Amino acid sequence: VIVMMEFSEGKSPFTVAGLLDVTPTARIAQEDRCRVVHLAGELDIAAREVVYGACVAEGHSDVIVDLGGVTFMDCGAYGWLIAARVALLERGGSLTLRSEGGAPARLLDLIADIEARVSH
Amino acid sequence: MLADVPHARPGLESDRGTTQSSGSTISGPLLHMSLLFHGDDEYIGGVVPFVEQGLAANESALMFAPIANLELVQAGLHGSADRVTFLDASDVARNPARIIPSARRFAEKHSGQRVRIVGHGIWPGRSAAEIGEFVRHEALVNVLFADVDAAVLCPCDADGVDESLIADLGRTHPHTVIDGSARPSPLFVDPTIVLAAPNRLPAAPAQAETLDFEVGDLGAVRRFVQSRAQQFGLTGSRAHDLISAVNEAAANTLNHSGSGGTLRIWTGAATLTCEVADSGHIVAAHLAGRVAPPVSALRGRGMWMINQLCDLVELRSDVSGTVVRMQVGIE
Repeated sequence: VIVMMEFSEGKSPFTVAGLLDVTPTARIAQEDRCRVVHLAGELDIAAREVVYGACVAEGHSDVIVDLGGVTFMDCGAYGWLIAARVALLERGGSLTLRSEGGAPARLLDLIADIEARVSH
Repeated sequence: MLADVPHARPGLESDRGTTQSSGSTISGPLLHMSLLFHGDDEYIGGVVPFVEQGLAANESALMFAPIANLELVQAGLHGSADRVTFLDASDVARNPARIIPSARRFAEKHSGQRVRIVGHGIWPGRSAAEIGEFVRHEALVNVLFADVDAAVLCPCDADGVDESLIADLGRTHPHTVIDGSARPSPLFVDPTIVLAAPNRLPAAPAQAETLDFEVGDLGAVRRFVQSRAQQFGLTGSRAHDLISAVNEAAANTLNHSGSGGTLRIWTGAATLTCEVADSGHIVAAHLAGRVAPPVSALRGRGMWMINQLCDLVELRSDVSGTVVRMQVGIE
């Protein structure tokens, strides 16, 4: 795994000593032939640069977003993922979410539930 | 900074999940009926033939009710029960604002054919606030299902409910089933009248803890709710749900009201309630969060998400401001 780039919000007002680091961060790595964006921390609408910026950074087309380090995600952050997906699709690429349980699972399950029930 | 970030602000109405206007006339294919019953025999005698008629006409049928009532109808339907989708009302109807998105999903799944729905969302022990939201929900069915080819039967146990609820069922259902046939309800009124009043919630109790928040404070809002949830015995996924719901309400305030807001939090006998208040005005607030946004939508799912996460949500908005009150039960 080669770390290509790192993103984080300029301010980190929510870092609490002794607790989990909640500052949103993105680490971009190369795995085989895929760009993988490892997101971490608490992601809300303020995390635009971390979520959208890291996903659409120059040269990316096919991107896997790994949510393994995410400790909170809301609809605002999900919206930035959708915006990134739209931008990547426009340049012929793709965005794939990689999430195994964890904090974003509830939100993703509820949103996916709409799709599942409407499309079947 | 990237210059090509899509600017995802479709506007106040759609951002809070309201893209449809409220209709004031009742027309179209919907048949929306209330059924007052006394005892199990009347329940079976009212609900089972309604479902059987639909199945005989090859309609798809959905029923949500308390488990004991589902079992009565399942037994009454004999072998045809497996053709009906049964949902536990303590889940889908716990927060009445969750019913319409679920029922609409069912109707969309079976679009092109008539659907038949039994909606039994009032049961013993429902609080006054829950019943109030349920009545608003029933009024909204006439608006948000107006274009749906559906027959909807809403049974309510006539024993142990007060007269005002029975009158409200008459006000919100265009038809009432009497002796097995649907008759126009003489009490029925335009749903906008039911939804317009009362538009104010009782004030939060004086002992509520308060946090004023501004742009950049969403993390502080989450930590405030987290600490109080822990203090009041709400843990695990239930605490996470409440934190998420309050975060969405506060994010709506910051994104749309043009200023900050106030979070209040308090406990009841077996409940924890959070309220987010701001000076913004949501147009057609009664529609907010009642339709599930598409998976590909960038914005506009906050109120819908809040409705999925909480046991009861009361949203009120007028020119003087907006209040989103979110309640969860403490086991």
